[in-house]
Amino acid sequence: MHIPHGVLSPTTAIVTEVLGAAGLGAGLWALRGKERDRTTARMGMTGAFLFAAQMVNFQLYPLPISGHLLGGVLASVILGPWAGSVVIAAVLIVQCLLFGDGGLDALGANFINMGLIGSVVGRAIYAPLRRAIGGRRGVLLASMAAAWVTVILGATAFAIEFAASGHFQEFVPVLGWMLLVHAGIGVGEALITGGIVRFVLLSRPELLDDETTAAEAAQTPVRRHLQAAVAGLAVACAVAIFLAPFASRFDDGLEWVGQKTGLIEEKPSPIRAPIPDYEFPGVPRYATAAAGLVGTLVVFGVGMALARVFARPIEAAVKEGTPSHAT
Amino acid sequence: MRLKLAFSGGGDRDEGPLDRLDERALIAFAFGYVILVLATPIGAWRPLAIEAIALAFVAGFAGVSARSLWDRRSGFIITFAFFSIMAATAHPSRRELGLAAVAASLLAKNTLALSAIVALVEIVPFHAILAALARSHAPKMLLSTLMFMDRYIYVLTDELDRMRKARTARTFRGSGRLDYAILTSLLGVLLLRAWERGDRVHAAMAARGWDGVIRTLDRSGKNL
Amino acid sequence: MIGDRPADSAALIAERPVEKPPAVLVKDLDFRYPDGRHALRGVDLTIMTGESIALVGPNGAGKSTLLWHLNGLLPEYAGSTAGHHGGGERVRKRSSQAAVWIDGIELNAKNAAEIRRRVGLVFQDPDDQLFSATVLDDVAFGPLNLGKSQPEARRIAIDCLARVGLADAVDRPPRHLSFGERKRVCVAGVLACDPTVLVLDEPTANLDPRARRQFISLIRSLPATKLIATHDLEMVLELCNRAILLDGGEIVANGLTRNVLGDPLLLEAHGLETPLSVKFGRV
Repeated sequence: MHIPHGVLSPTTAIVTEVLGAAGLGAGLWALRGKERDRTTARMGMTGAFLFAAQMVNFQLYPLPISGHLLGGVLASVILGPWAGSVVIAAVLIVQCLLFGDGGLDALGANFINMGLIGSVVGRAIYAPLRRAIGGRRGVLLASMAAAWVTVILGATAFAIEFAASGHFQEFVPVLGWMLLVHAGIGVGEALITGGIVRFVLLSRPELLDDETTAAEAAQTPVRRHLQAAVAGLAVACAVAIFLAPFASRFDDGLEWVGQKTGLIEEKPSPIRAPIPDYEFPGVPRYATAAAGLVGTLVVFGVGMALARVFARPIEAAVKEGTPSHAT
Repeated sequence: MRLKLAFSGGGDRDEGPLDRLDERALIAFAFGYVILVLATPIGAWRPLAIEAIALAFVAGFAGVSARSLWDRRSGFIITFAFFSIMAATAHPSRRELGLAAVAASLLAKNTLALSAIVALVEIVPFHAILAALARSHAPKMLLSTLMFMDRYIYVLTDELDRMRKARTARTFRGSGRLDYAILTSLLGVLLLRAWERGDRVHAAMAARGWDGVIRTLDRSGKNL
Repeated sequence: MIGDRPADSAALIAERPVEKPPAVLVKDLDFRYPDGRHALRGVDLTIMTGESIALVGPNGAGKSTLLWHLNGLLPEYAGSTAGHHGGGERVRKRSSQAAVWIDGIELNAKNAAEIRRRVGLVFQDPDDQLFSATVLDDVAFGPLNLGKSQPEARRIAIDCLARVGLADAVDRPPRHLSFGERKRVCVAGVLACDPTVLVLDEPTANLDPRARRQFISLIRSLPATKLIATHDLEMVLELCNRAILLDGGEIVANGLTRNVLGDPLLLEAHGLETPLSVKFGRV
């Protein structure tokens, strides 16, 4: 889901470009001094890979939706959060300039929705979950959960950016539609990410082990707590988002905020007959909640099934003296 | 599964007078034009028309074919039509101008911005844009990632296509669809190969003295 | 072991100062990959300046691993991160001491840059080596990294492209070249660094007969010392005066090409096949 040219209002475009640039700058700052390392070539190759992978369309049976990999969480799992976000930025730039996919004014917003939320927030969800579950099952299940949650958060971020572009009244219906569609896309993202991570774990596990242990060795307890806090917040947001349509005064609340901050200008138009506030059709409230629930269950169920391969034989575990692999 | 690469840029365009300008000037010019178009108010038809004529003139002057501009536009027209109607329904200007006019100006602005980008990439090849950015001290990490992508997207897509063909040759099914499990393992293989290639590429670069600094030849030095 | 140059002589040359040191000297090189694979077991090798040596052996014999050691890409890219301020890759300390000398210069982190200039490594897959957007940029990559000025690097690059017969391909992107042409651009990119030793990994693999013929004449025309790892034994007969047979990380035979390739039992025992021209007595 790439926002094209001219959808965001100038203010929103500027704000998101600045935020996106700051996020990208933070990522580049975290990677400084690594230019001559293998990381550079791996990042470029991961970018080219994501690009190629996005050419592959997956049909989401039984829904009439076909999706493709976005790759924020995947890049983050294999390269680390900041390198992952820089890779996504590069993919977005190539798509914008070479393919006309996504607007120049929306690069910042697209990077926030897919790069920062996908890779950085995704990593914050992935890391504590992976530690909690432990082992290769942890890597697989945590990356799937992160993929699912980040797509939902990205869709929400889009709805917010869109609403901030002068469409406050439409926030709830737009959010509803975005969530309904992205529940499907999110399940697809989780399944594709899970499938690829599982394949890597089965054929070259040391690649992921290296990356994750190296990243975690460098982590301070403060950062762990911070990560856990971000993860908790992200999951809470995702839950709240699906339940939000039930809060009946929510839209009025946003409108009130908009008027207070002067973002919505009430221009009474004397010429025309009053037009209803919006005609954009809303989504039945239960539909989004149901989609969220079904999506979560599907991701969880498929994740467990995929992870069965990593259930370690008891003898092997005993031999290593680590009865439970959880760390 | 479809595999189709439709790049803009690098076409068979004849060299026009704009090719002699510095790439950085052209990039700044194109980006400035996009900003100007996007800042044009909804329903301001006269400025939009002037901008459109200006773009058509510059593109024609540089030898960019109208066809390449249209090909790119047509690919995204359905998505954008959806967006523009969604954005137009509650647009503040709708009360004065009506739904159709708002949607049409959104579409026009989008088309002009998109066409300007496509024209830029037609005139300045992507690698030259990157080289120009490198000379303007853009962040190295981002640039080298972009350079690798520019070079290896084709290599990896070819590889994916070969694997897909080998796979379908052994799958006896009428439809072109492949199963989810097969697709993810195809992508998994591709990812691992891409990674191994990345390590070899890095080794080859290190063998020729790579130290993290991107150095390219000046395009302007062509006349030396 | 067949040998007109016993391994001991390598040690002698290293210790006794001679007028001109060997182009390549490898002493007791031992290497294990992090996954535990024992790829090289005490390899000794001496190549004199101007020699053309073939490195033959079955897949997995350790040929590529040996080649990667000659300019310090292994172990673990030690040279590329040495002396680099924090945040770099972990440099794993290995037990293997300096075991490689090029033109008498010891290969260590300090000399890595100079060694890499002297040893030109041509990879098997040209796409691994050609990473730049245009042919000229790629050939100029080495000279620019060596600190040459823009016009000088451009001159060197154009010159080297002419030497491999691709003077007209200057502005083309690598993906528009044939496999054989890409291969020759790789050679140009390596020549641009002005190496004294040219190391080629499977130079004729995947080439069609005409491209193979062109490539062989190209290699022959280059004056540098050459080490060629290959399965193409016919080419070895044409180009190399000496052949080294590597298997299981050890040198099994090291001698004149006609002696090594003329021993059917030896070749068969190590997964190779007697070249037809030897079988039918043309050589």
